[in-house]
Amino acid sequence: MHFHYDVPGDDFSCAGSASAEMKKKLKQLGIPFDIIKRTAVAMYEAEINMVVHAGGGEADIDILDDEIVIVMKDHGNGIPDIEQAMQEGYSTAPQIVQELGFGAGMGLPNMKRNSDFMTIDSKIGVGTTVTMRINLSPKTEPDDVGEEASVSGANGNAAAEKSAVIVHDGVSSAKVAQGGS
Amino acid sequence: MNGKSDFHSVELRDENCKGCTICVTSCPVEAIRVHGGKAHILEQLCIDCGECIRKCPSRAKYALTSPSSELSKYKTKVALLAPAFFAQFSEGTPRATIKEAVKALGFDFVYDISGAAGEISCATAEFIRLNRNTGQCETPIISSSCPAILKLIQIRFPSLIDHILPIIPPSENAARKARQLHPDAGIFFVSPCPAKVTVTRSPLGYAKSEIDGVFAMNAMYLPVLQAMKKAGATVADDKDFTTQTDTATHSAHIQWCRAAGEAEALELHLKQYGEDCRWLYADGLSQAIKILEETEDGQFDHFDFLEISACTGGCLGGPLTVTPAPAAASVLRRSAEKDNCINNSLSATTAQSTSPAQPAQTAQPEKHAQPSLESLLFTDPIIPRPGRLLDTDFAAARKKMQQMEEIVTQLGGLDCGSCGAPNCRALAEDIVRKNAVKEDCVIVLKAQYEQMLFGKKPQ
Repeated sequence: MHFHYDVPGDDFSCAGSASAEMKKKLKQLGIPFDIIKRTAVAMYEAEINMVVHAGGGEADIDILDDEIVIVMKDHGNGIPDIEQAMQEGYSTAPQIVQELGFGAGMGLPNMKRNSDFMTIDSKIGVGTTVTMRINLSPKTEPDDVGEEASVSGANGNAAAEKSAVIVHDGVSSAKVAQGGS
Repeated sequence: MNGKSDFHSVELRDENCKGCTICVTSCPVEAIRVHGGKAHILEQLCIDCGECIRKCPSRAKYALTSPSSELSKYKTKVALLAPAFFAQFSEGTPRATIKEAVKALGFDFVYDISGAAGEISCATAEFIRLNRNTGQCETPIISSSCPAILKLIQIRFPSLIDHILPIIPPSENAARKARQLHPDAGIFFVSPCPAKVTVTRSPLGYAKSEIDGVFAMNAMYLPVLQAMKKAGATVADDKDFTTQTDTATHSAHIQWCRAAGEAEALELHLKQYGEDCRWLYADGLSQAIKILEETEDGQFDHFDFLEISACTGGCLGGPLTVTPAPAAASVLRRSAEKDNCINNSLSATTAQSTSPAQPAQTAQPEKHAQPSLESLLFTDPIIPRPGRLLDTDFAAARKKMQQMEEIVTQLGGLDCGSCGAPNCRALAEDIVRKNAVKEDCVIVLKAQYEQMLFGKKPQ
């Protein structure tokens, strides 16, 4: 089943409402709490990112037989260097946002940690789509292998070297890589 | 007992109910529906907070307390008065006068439970200190004194059950002490709320309550006022369960029932050991739910203690109280100040006041009379009661949620409550659970009529 939420871009106090709604629904479905918590944290971080960096966006969640798929899509500036953005503590959030206690550079790492599989597809000037998958069967621990997020250039170097899982639009990703360097 | 039973103390007088849906839309946990022109309480969702008792304009909701005839069943009768009860009367009324007036209503012994509350604070401090090493209880530790909050956790936040302070509430501690003194007596508690009535019948965390019956504060208020008028001078006071304490501690104990009273008393006890206590207080159910949500998300992991009260203003704001909580808090505060003046002059020579800065070795608050921590601990687990679960089978639950989502788009979307459910989403859920039909929605019904009468297509 599918859920769609708009994430408003101009209001910090609203950030997190989509993840809060999802939490209620997952509870009603009787999903184990550790999975609910990981879903809520992953979504919450993504929502905050959208408010801070992208002027809002959309959240689309599918609850399938064996996994929850969360797609967070924005139309912001895009991420120039995803590998750098994935590093803990790295943040491009404006000073004022950091003063509010956000933008500590833990958003993307937390999203990765709490999902079993995560891909980031970002295009400069177009926007970013983060897809997270969380298994419903309790076999995978968070922070497990096989969830490395990365960009792959047109030459496929990054993907080959890092045994990374994710390749999207090769051409635009290459542009991303160029834009970052 | 683990709170499994569905005993509830909030009840409905059918003949008074007009089916107006005010209780339906104001119930903080969406536990009331109007069907067939009368309100019904959904037992699996009700936490006995008593908000509907406050809101009902027809006085159709009431707390199921003991009939006064219950008293005659016992040869010896004991009344336990919560500190909140003393705060119902005008400032300056001596506690002894109030107790004497309660006695005149047919009780043999009357006790103030603030000392028993103080023992709970002392035990809580001990528990928190131990827990800092053992980690036996998840932090932040959530107060166990508001039974409505415990029920809310069982139903909506089962993942927080491991955070609940596993120590009995003050009223139960007082009742156990009274039982020791009067083994065959009938022990009656004068309660500010229906939730505390419920736990005497269906305890949370312990097997059996020593409280034999409960009277509502507002039912006792007038008779006590009358008895006070009649009595005049006060007579010798029953010795309360108060242990020898310094003035600051005494003051904290008698103010236990007000907003943040428990947390402040705990902080005082921890300070006597030279230890810090980071606490947070929340009251009113909308605030309580918000704080519990955030606790679940790990927002308060660095806190030691959360005191959460279903009623605004703490127990002083209970639905069965008479005096508004802020006024009652003022009475308590001033009464505590007055006691302190007396105590100070009495203990001037022995000078036992414990300053916060006192080193840990010499600080042994209430060592002699304090019951052991073990004797105050929970003996029974509190079990989850996920009352909002759509189905125990995941596939079936998902199917029902899918149906709910579809139905919700077909309803009026006004959240008007006319259908008898608090909002459109709740009606959709009721329909999926087969407790309602789509035509309960007035907007849907109107569209169907128009189609029938004028052949209008529904929009």
